[in-house]
Amino acid sequence: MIGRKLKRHGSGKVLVFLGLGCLLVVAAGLLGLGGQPAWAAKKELRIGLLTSFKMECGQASINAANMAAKELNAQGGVLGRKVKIFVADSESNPEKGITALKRLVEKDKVHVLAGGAMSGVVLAAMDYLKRYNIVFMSTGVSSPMIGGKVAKDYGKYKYQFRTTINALNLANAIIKDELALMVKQGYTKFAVLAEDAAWNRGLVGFLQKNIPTVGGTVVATEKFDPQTADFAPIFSKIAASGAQVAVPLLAHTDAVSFFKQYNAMKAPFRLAGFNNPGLHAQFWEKTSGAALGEVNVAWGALIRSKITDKTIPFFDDYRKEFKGAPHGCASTTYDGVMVLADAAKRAKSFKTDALIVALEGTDYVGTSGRVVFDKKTHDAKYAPEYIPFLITQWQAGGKWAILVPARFATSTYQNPPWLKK
Amino acid sequence: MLTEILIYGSVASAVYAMLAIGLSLMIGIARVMNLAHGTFYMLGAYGVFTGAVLLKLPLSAAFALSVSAVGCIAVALNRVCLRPLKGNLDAMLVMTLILALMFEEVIQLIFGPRPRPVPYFVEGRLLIFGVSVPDQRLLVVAVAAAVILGLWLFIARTRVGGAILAVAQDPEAAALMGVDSGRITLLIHFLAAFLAAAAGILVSPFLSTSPGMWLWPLVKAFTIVILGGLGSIWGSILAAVILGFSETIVSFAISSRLTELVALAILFLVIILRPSGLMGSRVGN
Repeated sequence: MIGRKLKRHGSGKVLVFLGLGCLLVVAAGLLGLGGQPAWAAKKELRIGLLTSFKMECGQASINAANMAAKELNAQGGVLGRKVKIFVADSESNPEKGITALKRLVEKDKVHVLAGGAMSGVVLAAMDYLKRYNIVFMSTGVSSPMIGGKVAKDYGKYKYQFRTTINALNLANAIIKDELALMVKQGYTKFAVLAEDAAWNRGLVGFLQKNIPTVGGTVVATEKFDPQTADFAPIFSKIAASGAQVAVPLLAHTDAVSFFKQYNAMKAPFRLAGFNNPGLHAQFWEKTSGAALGEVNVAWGALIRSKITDKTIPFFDDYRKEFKGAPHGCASTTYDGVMVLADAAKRAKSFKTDALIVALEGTDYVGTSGRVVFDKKTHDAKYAPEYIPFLITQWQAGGKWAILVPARFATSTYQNPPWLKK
Repeated sequence: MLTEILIYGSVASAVYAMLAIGLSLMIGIARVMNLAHGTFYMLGAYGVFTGAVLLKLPLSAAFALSVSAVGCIAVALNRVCLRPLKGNLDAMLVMTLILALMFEEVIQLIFGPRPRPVPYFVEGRLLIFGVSVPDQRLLVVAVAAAVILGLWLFIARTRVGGAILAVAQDPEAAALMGVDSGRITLLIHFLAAFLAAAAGILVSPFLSTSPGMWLWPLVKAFTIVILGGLGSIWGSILAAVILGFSETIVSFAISSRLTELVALAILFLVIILRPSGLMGSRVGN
């Protein structure tokens, strides 16, 4: 058949067409049609940021990653390569997150991955890291299962590192620093008030078990859907339980609404727990002051405080560039990118195996503190000598005060004005 | 606990009644199965946010502007998008779903994904039998009662109201009697959107506003309309009270985690056991 066609059209013409076709294919490859060209990828350090565009954490991660890249590039890049950030939206959905991850690796040809704004997405993504032989620096998720998987099957999951908190470390900080502080003030009856989500599964039981270790008792536990809009019945139940302190565990809940309703009711209990959406210097304005009295656990460059020499410059630069204070995911993402760059410089390579070895040896002073990864879990160590937790409180006039640790403290605990000592 | 259930059940019922009466009129009289009804609730909230927070208008002016604007949007949507599909129920259903999703995306593009705070219309709180109730929630009950009473008087005591009832009972006979059913349909669209927007505005100070806030109110409005019976205002009010109190009782007595499941359970049971609802015609008729 082909032979007949060749005869009909003349073999010379066919060869010319075939040649042109080959040229087109090569040109398309060079131009990057259908994917990033290989030559471009070799001149850059490509970091793929997998995050959730709709979440505040996602937007903060994108801002912070670009800020880190800009600073690295101003210093000449990493090992002579310019740093370029590629972003992909997981839409807070594991299935869509995997599609986005594949696009970053296969089309954008990124060298390393970072980000993650939802634990479910990162847990799903971890199963693809070995297949793609690529490092993932998680900067916005806290499920203990992430570090747990690395510890359980190192060969398969060694590609995963994390600069943000592990919820277990957070749980310890809530118990030993935050709730111990409330007990010290004379409040011993606690109610656990948790949204029902993957990140805090286990945390509720941990709090119930460990609150007595600091001298408190748990008088009520209430779980609610993160989509809940009306908190008044929940607050009424907590009030009826006689709790003096409610311990909220919030990440995906509309925290503005939560605090506005709490304040409007003048609920007869204090709030001291973990409120992730409230980890922002502008939370006071967002709630129109309804956050008054809230005690929260924070870390990193959320508050303009000299945690390290880099904290205040980062806070100021971020606020100047993005017209707002950094969110919790900003400093962990910024530090995450810087740690990746630092590891590549020490390894003198972008190859995954060399990067993993270098990351395991990281001892880097970032904006949040000293980043050192746990050998088993690959989670950054959160402790006073590494990245310290800060116990904070919103006080009159919109002051976001640090109560604990003493070396960073700017105020002492104050009751909400409608509650007596 | 009983006092809390009575208070918070009343607030929830008031909001649901405002939402569902409009939808009931829309389905029963205008014959539109409107999946964009929750959108009017959302647009009302964003309207008052724009007026009161961005344009710094007094809250009462922002309220009036927002409900009027949303009513006009509903009328325009009816003329442009729904009227050409008259008689084709499937196409209308799809069209209203498209509109709902489109409005969510547009609102998200304009205002962003995070919740927007709306100031309280009234500050302060009242202690009722030892239960602290914010004044804004009591305002919701008062306004809802006034609006529903006003609507009932309008339908029962005015000529236009009589025309609405005539179209509801028999559109063809009403047309033979000289009633302009096209105008009545437009009025119904305006009223339904007005009521939904008012509900969205009243709850926005304590529930905040977000682009996805339309979905659950829509599910609840449909539950109430099906439970109460299509086209029955009193049925809708009764069903709103049942749903509002059921949710509150479940929230207090069992777990607030199960609150959203109540509407779905009621919907499921009514469709299987009593498709005609409490006071209306059978679903699907």
